[in-house]
Amino acid sequence: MKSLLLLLIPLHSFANTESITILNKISSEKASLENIISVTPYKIEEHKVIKKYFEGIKEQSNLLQQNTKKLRRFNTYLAEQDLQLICDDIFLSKEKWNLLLNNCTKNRFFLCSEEVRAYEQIKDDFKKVLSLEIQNRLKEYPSCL
Amino acid sequence: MKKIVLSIVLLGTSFSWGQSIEVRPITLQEVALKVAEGNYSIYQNSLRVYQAKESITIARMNLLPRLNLWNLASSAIEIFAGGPSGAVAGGFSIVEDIAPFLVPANWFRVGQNKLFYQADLEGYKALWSNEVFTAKALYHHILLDNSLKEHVLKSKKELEEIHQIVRVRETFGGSTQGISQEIKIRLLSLDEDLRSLNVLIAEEEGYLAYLMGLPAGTKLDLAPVTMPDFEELTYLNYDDFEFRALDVSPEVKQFDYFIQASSLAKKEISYAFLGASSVSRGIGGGIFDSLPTQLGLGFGHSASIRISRTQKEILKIQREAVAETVRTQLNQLINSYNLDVDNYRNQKLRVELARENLKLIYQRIQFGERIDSLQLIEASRNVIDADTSLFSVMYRFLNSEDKLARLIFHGDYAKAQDATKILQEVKL
Repeated sequence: MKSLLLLLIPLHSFANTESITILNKISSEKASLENIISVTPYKIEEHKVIKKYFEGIKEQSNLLQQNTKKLRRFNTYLAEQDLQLICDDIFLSKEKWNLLLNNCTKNRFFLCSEEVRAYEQIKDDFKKVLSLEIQNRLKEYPSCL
Repeated sequence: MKKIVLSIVLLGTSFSWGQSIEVRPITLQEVALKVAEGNYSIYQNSLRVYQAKESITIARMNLLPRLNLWNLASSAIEIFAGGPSGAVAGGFSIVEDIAPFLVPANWFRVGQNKLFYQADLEGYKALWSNEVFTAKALYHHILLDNSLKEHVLKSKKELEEIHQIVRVRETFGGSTQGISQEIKIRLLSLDEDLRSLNVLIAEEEGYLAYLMGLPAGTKLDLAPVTMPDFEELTYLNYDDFEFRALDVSPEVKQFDYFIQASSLAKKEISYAFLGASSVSRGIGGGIFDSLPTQLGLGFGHSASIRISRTQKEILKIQREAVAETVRTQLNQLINSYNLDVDNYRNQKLRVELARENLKLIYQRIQFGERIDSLQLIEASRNVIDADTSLFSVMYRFLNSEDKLARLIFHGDYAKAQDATKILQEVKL
């Protein structure tokens, strides 16, 4: 029994580490984006940082969708967490998104990556990948909407 | 005889009456829509994308077992008659039919077909936008030519009035003989300009109708476009647009997919000793068809891999060349736009001065003053030239803005994304 427990503990911690890595990746890209959001007019470097955050969410949705085991582990991890904190950590607030949209527009032309405009859709796609239980819980928090 | 001639004439007239020329009112907003719906090249290309999509299904289905009686029979003979080595060879050839999913090359082909389909979608987006851009540019050009025609007509009318006055004065000795003839020559030259413009407009309308998929002979009635406030236009900065132009460029994205596919093609060649794939790469995959695939583990295997690696490098260089072309186009466009911002004010002033000058000459003629005919002709030509230049600058602004919109997929061109989405859902 003890040996079985000893075997399960590292497995459980591996599952958690994997999920934490996913969230940390998105979170760090969000932090980088927030750092440059006011550095206008955006140059190529800033544009790349902006695109990386939105593409990162898209990429993680795709990876989770393609790997059911990984998704299951991710859902289990999320079920134990404070979702509001996670949403604050990984999702860009509406105010900041609007600021970004505004900074991306010059002479009535939209100059940033197309993913910026499609943020709502990208966020929805990410949430749709998750289990129904998590999706319902996400609806309770404004920062997750 | 008279009756026959009369009936032929009547028949001819009734035929000409029977030919109804359809006049089609159209707006600039409709042009993008009509081109997307009715353009022949776009339709052809959409079918090509559909073929690429179906190629994925073929590649995927070819992973499942298939019945190939002749191959079975020849393998059976090989197994029974060829001894132990024949049994191995025959067994392997059956695997390709019975269990094609065990052949790695088939999996790599599925991956490649998916990428070629994505590349074809980008190609479709590029073509869609180019056709819409050509049609819109043509629309602007027809409007410009129509404006010029109106100006030439106005100038002709004014010159005819002067011609009348000068002729009367010549008759009564109030003017030097020969001036009316000079004016008549100028009038004839304006007639030629008008005829040329009419032919040009008809040709342009015909091509625009073709781009929109309308029947030949359709007469277009183009609605005027809203001109921007040219006084308010400011300089554009290249750096602001560079990222967006490269990020959304379907031409660049197409190469990104080809580069990804080249990695799979390389893997396919590396694992070719486990069997070759007979699945076609489709139209888009033609660039990889020339790559040498060594069946079995031969001495040429590593050279084949090196060739496939070089193919990837070629594609990377081509991608960079396309990106550089986009940069150059953007740079030229911004320069031309900024130049026109400066030129506009000059042109406007030039038109005002030229008109003022001609008006003064007309007034002097009407008051009976002796005017050098060359001076009059020169003043008339100056007005037309100045008007033409101003109109050209104004329509060039419209074209530049549209070209910029095409480069960064703004406005009408943003609909290209929707067009590809519709295409992805199409089932024939």
